[in-house]
Amino acid sequence: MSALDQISWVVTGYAVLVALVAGWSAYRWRRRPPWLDSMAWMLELLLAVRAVAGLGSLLQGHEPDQESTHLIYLLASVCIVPLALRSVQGDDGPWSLGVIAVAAIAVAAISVRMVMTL
Amino acid sequence: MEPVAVTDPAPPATSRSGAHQILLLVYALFTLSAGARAVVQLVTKADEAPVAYSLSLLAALTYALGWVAIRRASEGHTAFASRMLWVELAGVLTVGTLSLLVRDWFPDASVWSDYGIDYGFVPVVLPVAGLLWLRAQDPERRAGAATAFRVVAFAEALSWLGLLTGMFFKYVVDAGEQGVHVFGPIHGTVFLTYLVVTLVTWRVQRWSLLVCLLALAASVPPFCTIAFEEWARRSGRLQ
Repeated sequence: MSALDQISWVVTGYAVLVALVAGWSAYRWRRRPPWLDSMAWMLELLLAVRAVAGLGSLLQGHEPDQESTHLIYLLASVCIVPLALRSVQGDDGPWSLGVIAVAAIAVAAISVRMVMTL
Repeated sequence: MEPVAVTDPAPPATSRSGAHQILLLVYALFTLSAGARAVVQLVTKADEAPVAYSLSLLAALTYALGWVAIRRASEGHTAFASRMLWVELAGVLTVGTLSLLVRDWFPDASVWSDYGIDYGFVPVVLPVAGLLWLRAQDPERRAGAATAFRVVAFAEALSWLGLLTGMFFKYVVDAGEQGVHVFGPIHGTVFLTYLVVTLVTWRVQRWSLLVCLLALAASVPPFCTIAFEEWARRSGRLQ
């Protein structure tokens, strides 16, 4: 397993964790705690590391199985979490937890697809 | 970390906060992913499956319009959404059925192929969830969830009938797999829709957890959803 795949699997696991925490809090109908945003930004950090490592490997001449698809996943992966956090800025209602959970699930799906298209 | 912040009761819902926030994010994600997918495929290999790729682009357009529709509906203008979501549902069902019947048009998958199987059937669940949300917006139509549950419970049993007929022809009569190929994905879609609608009904009708689990379990053996619906209606749990 390559180092890139390993980062992707760590991202997937952590994204699922974020989704579970957010989903559970939404189910209990809580306000969004500030540390959940920190968890989401941690996820974004991991995704940025994965994107930089992925772009580096592309620039060094490594060719993924499905190059254009893989590149789009790489770029899209770093946009989702900021987009979601931006859309619930200043709103800590229970539904905003659902937004974070959906964003984390999307990120998990994308990083699995990244492994498949590498 | 402030433990107090976690246990605070939720604030009353404002017009800004609500289920539409989740819908908007999902519509935005699907607009981007379907659009990017369609454009890449049309630019790099349009000859391979022109119909499928064009339908993907159409799906992306539908999601963009759906996003606008949900946004307008969350501000109180529900007219556009009440048409657009039905158009979207019809689109998913039409393309999904075409992809099963006219396989020549789909050498490669489209976004709505097999009712969106590549996306975990979210494409077919999404307009249903949107329509349920739209109904909840309108207090006079709160019975919408009960009606939706009864329709989907019936459809679930019907799709079981189709699948069992297909299995009968495949295994007993040995007349080929055609029936299973057609009814398998249909049953899968209706089954997932039933699960979603059940969860919504559970919240709207204030069922206990036990009743909710019973409703979910009823989808596993054939035709039990009808029995559950009958019992729920008689015991006043679907009003």
